[in-house]
Amino acid sequence: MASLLQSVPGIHFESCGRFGVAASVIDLAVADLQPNKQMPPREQAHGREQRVLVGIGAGMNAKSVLRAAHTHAARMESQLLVVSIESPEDLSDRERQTRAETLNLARQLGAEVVLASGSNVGRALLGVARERGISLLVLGKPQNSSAIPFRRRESPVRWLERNADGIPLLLVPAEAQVSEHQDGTFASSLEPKETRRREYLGAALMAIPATVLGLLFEQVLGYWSVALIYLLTVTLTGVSFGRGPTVMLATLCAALWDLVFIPPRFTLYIGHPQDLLMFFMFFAVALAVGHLTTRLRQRERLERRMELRATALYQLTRKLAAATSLEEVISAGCSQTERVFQASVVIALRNADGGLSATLGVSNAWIPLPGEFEVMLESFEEKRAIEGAGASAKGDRLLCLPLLVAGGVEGVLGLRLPGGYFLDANHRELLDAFAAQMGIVSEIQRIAKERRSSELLADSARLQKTLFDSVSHELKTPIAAIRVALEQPAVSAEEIRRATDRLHRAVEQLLSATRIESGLLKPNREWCDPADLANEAIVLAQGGAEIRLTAAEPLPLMRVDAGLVVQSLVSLLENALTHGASDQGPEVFVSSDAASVRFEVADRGRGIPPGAENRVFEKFHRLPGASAGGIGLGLAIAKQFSELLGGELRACNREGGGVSFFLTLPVGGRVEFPA
Amino acid sequence: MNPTVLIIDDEVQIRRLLGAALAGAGYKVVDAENGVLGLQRAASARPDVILLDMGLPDMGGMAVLGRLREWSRVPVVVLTVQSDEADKIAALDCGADDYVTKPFATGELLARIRAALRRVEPQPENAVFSQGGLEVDLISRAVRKDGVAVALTPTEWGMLKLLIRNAGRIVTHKQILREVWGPGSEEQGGYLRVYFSHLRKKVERNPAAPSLILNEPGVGYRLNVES
Repeated sequence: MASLLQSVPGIHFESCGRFGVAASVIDLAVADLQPNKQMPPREQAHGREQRVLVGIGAGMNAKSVLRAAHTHAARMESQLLVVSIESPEDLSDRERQTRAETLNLARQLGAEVVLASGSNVGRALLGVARERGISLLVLGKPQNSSAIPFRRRESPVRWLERNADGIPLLLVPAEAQVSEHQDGTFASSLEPKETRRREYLGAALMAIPATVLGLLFEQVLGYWSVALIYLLTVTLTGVSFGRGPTVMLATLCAALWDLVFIPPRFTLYIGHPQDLLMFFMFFAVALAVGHLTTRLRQRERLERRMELRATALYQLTRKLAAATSLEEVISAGCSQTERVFQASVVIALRNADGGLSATLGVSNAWIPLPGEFEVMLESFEEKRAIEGAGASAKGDRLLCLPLLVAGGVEGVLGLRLPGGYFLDANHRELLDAFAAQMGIVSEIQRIAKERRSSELLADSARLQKTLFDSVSHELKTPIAAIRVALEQPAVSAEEIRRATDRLHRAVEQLLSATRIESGLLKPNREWCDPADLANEAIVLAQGGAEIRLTAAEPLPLMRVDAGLVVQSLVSLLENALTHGASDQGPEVFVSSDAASVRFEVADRGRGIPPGAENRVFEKFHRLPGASAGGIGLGLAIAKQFSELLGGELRACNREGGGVSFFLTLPVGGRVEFPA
Repeated sequence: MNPTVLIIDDEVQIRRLLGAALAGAGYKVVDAENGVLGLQRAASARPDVILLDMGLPDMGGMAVLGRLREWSRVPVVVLTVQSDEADKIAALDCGADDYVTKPFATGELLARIRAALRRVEPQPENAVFSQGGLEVDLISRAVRKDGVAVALTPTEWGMLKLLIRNAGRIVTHKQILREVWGPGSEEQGGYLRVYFSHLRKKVERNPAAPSLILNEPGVGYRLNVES
């Protein structure tokens, strides 16, 4: 994609230094001190929310008009709205730059900048004014600077004077000194003038083939038809050249036709009245066609500009919409901005404390220098765009745009523009749109992040509560049992022993869970016989019902932490003993494949409701209707142990009722059994 | 003469209950509530065995053990709440004879004390070990299970012999590796479990629920001499 940016040669930019932004700010300070004769009385403003709208063109007096409007807005304590109407007419580079500078100045003054388009500037301005409820409309007094036909239609000011019913209009006269500069500056911008001269020359040359063709076919078609050839030439020229050359060519063709073809030949004299009429008709049609094709072309160019802008914005929006975290927002924003504006880009976002985060999304290996970060910070704190010299001293300029959203500012978009780089109003407006878009998306992501963390907090609070309930129940119940048993006339030692066992188990589980969570647990691996481990667990878990073991033959040795495996199996067996059928003891199956050993602990209990297979491993989770027993950590611990050993633990319902827990563990390498 | 037991523990309830249990079993009991006092009593009362709690307020149990071992070879059974094997191993390496983990059963504690006392008692050189249907003649190297001769590999014989010599007391993984496989093989403990699994299959009546060769997870093995 070609850069949307135009690069203006350094000398051109330098020559406009007097109109630079810094100079304008100083001018502004002086202008603000001077009493303005044009000042309308305060009470003239009406409406609850007062807004002053100033229409900015590309003329040399745009800045003084803006300053005057700013002064008025300040006195009326109202918001300033700066509107620039993009019309299909081509602006010179000089005019484009003046407009961009004026709009930059407006932004620095804290005004809202609106770009609108329309061929009738007055109507477009009025549209914005009506839409925004404007209390005062400020315009520059028209200058009679152009005498080219069709170039200036009725001045927008005149049009507004007639049509702006109800909206007070304030006209700011051009400053004399500004018009002096105008001549000087235009004279110094040599290149556009040379281009124009070349265009005029090219258009004039087009008359030669037309005349030759005319001479060739005149005998066959008659001299009136030659006019059509000329007309075709003028139309084609209008497509590729500007308005001026086209009009000139139309005049030239009319003169040539008259001179060469209308009898009497080689005189400008026209004998027949019908020839005279034809001559004037030709002249009028050629002018009209030339003018219309030029306008068409300009409109097309405007639309292409708008389309490029829309495409760039659309791509940014799409990339940002795909971002799922603030980091992705930063990286998408950076890369897209960089691609479109071909500048180094940096984005800093606000942090949780509301300050500007020092962790930045940086692309193109630009890390802001300390001075530059301060500019970004200033832009962030004052919520306004700041343009300044870059700190790298290579003529770079630094442009910082706050990412403004309704509630405040989300961060800062920083661009490092190479020296001589020039952002015109369209690009500047596009950049503003980029910043606005990034601000919105950053805000959404930040809020989402905050919500996630607050949900996490609520979750952990809920877990805390469950833990508290579960732990108090499991610890206090056996203590209560011991007390009651002791108070009986015949102390039941068996009851006390059972209660202390339960208490002991609860404490062990709590300690195990704590050890896992503290990360202190390091598996101590040794080679084990899987059947031995199952046996060990069965011996430890034995209670009440009988546990049957079925082990496949042969089983490979496995390198695991025997203690952790046994403890996991004991947890599974205790779970099976508690929740399984009372008349049928749990079963243990041990089997293996090449790389892993699978322990299955199966019961004939009520089973797990479909979909809750993973919930049983949650801490303190108890299935509805399940019998009480244990602290609710056993399965969670078993799962964590198995994961620590690189294995997995799953639960699923058995055919014929009940649940099977599958503990699958990797064998853990090849046995090199020493003799 | 009844052996004397010194209990060094800061918990008054534990001291009182242990004192009663040990006195009931025929021991003479002396106690101390901290490490400094414990070391003084160890010197003055000349106990035959010491029960040392690892979590003392003034100085750690390990420090008491270290100071004690500078001048005394009296058997020490450590009381610990730690389920972490590393601490138990550290205590054994530091000169403790055995350990019991709180909460423990009185019977278990008494067995440990008896085993610890046996180490220093002049023992009749008993050539034949007999327990739970297993008969081992240490001189002729004959092993019988319920009267049936059992063939052991040299490694298995070495392991069994070591356990019998320390009957009732814990033998750490390190000790077993050093004694059976020779110095320098202490770090190759990864296969120990498998060897013991084989040994159990040969000497235990029910290898799935062993009653002779007991595993102390993460620490070592113990030959059970209490029926």
